[in-house]
Amino acid sequence: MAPTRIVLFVLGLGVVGAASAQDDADIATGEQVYDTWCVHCHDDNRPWSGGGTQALQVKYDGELPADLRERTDMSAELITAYVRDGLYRMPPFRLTEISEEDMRALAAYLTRNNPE
Amino acid sequence: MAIPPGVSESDFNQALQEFENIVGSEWVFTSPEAVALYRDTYSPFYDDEGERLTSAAIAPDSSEQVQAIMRVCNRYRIPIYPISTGKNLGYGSAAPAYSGSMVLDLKRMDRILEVDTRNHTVLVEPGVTFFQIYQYFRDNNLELDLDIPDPAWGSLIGHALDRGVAHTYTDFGRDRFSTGCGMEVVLANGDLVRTGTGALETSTMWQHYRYGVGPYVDGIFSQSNFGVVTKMGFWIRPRHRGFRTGYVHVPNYEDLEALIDVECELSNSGINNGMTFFGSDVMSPFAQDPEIRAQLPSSGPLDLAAIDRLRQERNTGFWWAKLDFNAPLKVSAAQWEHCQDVYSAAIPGCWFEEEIALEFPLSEEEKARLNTPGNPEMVHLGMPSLARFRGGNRSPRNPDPDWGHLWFAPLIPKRAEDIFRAQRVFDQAYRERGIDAGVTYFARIPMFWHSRVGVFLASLSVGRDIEANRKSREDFLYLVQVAADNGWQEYRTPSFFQTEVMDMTCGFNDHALMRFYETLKDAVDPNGILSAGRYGIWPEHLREEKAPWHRRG
Repeated sequence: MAPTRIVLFVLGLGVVGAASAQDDADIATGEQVYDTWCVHCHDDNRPWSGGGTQALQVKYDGELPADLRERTDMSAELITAYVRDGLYRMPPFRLTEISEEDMRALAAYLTRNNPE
Repeated sequence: MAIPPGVSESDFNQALQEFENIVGSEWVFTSPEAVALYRDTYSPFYDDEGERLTSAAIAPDSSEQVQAIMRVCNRYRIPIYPISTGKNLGYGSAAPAYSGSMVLDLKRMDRILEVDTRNHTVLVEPGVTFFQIYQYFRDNNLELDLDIPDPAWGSLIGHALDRGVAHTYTDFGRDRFSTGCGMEVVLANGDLVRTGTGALETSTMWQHYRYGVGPYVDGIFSQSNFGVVTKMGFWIRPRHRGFRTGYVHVPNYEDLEALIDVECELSNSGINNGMTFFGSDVMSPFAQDPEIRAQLPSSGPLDLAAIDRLRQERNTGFWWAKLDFNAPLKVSAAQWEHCQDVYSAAIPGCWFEEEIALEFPLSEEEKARLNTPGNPEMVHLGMPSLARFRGGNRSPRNPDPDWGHLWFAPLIPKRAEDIFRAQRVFDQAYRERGIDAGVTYFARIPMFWHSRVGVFLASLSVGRDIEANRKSREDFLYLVQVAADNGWQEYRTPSFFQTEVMDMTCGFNDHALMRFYETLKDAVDPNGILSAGRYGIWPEHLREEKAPWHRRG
């Protein structure tokens, strides 16, 4: 999954290019974290999902995408707060489950399409 | 930084230093933010007096580290509470039974140590989840399966030790603990033991023969606090080959007795080998038919004559049994045919309906239909998911969800007369307490995860309203007492109510069983450091304060 926005942004900028490689790695790791810990509820709303996407569909009623992977408005801080605090039936995730490093990568993945 | 009860600050600081030397500083958690992650967000004590909180946490990576941690805890008398994955939501989650204990977080120990593909066994660590092992079998092209509970993010070992249940084949994990074969346990005193044939240093069959020679002790490490299970073997099964479901419908209210009795004959013979569900055609708890719903008050007696008239008008049955068969289709066709023969001979007017017959591997079209009406749920096929959360999460039918639940889980004998009695008893109890049952108790049938008893599972709501949570707590204890008065015991219970439940349901001969557990506790954990209060077993120095049977003299 290519982070198009970042690649375009760093063309010709060697120093930032190094940062971009790191961003790409974080995003790839973040996608793995998502697929391990989040996708069982926050998927494309299949009947066997835990219902996170359905819950957001009802909550937002079309105003925002229910699938978190399509969101472009969430900050890293907000994502971290939900993962660490939990909300309704979603429990908090501990550091032995999602480490601080994985949390940063997860946030990078879910904010990859945010506008500048 | 919080200090565990009974420990001085200087001793705790010294112990933390020693803990860091054992596991590394990054795996000792003392900051408020890190420790808060161990709160039980499903707790009916949340933000209220009595909430069980954690003082600190430590996450080892090996049995040797667990041994070293136990020695430090003994040296400084630090109470510590092990968790596997901490996902026992509704039963206590990751929070300790004795508030202020440290948590021993075993999630990092997540290795699948051995897999026997020829005799179908595994040996795993506590952090291994059902999602993980299912994926491991597939990633490594292993023709293996096991029974999967919902939700599947829990630990095999944790599930077994809390005596959790699942949904498929009778002998392969529906009663998880019954499939255990061999444990490695760090005792509270730091000693390391292996049970069963694992006691033989040269053992070649630790996961193949569970008893070893001499007393069989594995049971005392479930729902207890005598040791930390760091490895456990399980009997699993070859890859599923086929799945078939057939419905038996019976016309009359009174037919439930024969419907269940015949199912017992079939399932206890091994012919009907999946988990059987029972329900009512006409009194479905989720009936959409407005005429039927009008006859299903949330509480109070039913007008059975009126319901039976509706049943006749709709030409449907009164009760059904859904028989599941986990076998190749050629085999299950004969099993199902035999079940129909036996039912036809036993119950006049019964009829049959085959829901589905699937061969594995499933096609993409078949997979896409799972968990939809008329199709099996993934857990019934031994496939992992979190689908059961869907009902509690926000949805069009549940626009204002709560934050958790408290499981009331009494065992009821697998007999129609006991089920009818339980329906009456719990309906009355709900009315007395003003509990909203949602749907009438008279439409409910226990879940038969176990072969000879059912669990009349009911959830009490937990939210962020402290007064409402207090009522849920009082309701829970009231229901446990009502059940006990009628001879029905919980099969597992939340950590924060384990003492009360053991008091109410283990009173024979002046709580002789509890006194026996306490004798064991004093022998194996003389300093009382491990999981104080788990299933009502308190160390000697806390008994007078915590165990009601001691206070009563």
